[in-house]
Amino acid sequence: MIIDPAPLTQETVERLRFASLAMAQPPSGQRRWVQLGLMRKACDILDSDLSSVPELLRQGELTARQAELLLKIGSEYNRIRSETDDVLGEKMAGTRSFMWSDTFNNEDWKALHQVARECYQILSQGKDPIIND
Amino acid sequence: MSAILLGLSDGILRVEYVDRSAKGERVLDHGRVTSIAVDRHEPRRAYASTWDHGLWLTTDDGRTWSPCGTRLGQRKFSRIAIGPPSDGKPSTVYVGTEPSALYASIDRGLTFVELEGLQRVPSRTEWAFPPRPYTHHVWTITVDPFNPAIIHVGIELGGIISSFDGGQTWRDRQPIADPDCHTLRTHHKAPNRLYEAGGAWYCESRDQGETWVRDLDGIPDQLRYFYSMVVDPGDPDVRLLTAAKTPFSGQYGAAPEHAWSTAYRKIGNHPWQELGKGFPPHEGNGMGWFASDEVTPGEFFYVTPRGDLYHSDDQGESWRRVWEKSAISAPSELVRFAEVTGSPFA
Repeated sequence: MIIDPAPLTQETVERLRFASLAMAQPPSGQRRWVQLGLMRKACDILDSDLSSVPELLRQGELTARQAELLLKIGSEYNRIRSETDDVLGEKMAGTRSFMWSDTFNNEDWKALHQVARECYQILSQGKDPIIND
Repeated sequence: MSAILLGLSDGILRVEYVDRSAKGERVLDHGRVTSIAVDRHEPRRAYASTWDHGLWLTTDDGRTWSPCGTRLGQRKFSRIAIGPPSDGKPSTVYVGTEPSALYASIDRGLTFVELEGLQRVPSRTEWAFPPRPYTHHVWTITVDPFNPAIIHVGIELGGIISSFDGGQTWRDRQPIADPDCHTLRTHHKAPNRLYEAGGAWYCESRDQGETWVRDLDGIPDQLRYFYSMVVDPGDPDVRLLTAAKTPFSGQYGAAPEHAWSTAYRKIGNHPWQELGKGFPPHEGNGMGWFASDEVTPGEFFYVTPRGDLYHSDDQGESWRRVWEKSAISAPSELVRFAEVTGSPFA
């Protein structure tokens, strides 16, 4: 999926917030999000929008801590991606049994989860882009 | 006679079902209700937990409610459950919260103490609720009907954590069981047995959760999300389970134009079979809630998120709509939980 470039606005922050939510999911949540196409969308957002973080910080759309955590998500994600050609396990994601696999359940992803959870918490401020309970 | 207590996004409805006829009454008009627990050994007594308005107690079969557990202060109460009585003492009341913590009351909900051992479970650092992954909550609490010292807690999302000493120490989650525990049940005729409806699969244990077997035999591959589940009070081998394609179309809050859900029944070792004959249609309905009064064999209730109540008296073979919430309450108030009051254990 190709994500259209977005202007450097709050909309970009919203997209990065969504990406941080995806990276913060527990492993079984991420496996489901792979099947729904949401993890791929999140990865594409990281690819297209992380380079905007310094400018968003300069414009005041992000705090220093938010920017730091977003960039850390990017570095952790890129490190994991550099070690595999199927970072999301998409080759085997078609069936229900993918939900029972160990994909995303390893130390590298655990480290990314923790960073993303802190990042999403301070980005979300109580709002969630998908589910309001 | 049965009374069905429907926990809403804004209070509680009580529906009386007598001689195949139902009538409803609003009995609490505030509080996002997360669970209701009936004391099976004192069936006019029940407790309700709410996300935003504390804990509530009824001693008259759900007709009137008063606050309880107020010394716990303002917390997000996610679950309440009652254990069996022990040595002539009142049943212990358990309350779960977000972030995940478990409290117990041995004085019928007047005071609570935290069972702090739950915080020391090794997997705790990995628990995360998908919509708010920086936190998590206790979503199920099940006390063994034969031994009140055995407590199973389902974390959303973290797995089933078990204690065999009344909550002092805890066994961490076991493999195979779904870490996204939506419903966890025991059966008063099946010692050591646990039934779990999880986010991605259904499974059972015959040894208090030490080992588990997944079972979706007969359920089409495109159904990948499960939630409510009940077991026939008279037969531990008859289970009913709600199913959906995704959380977004299946959850109780799904918009009607996107909502889709179904339900299945499993008898013995036969494959799951989809419910029909009067069960609510797939389209327009998110997954609702099964309930039984724990002792009436073969009898079930099912309530849709918008409050249509269905009844089956033949082990789920056929269903009949017996009541509509919209007759007395705002349609926008979704049903979040259902529980049946009724007879004590024989």
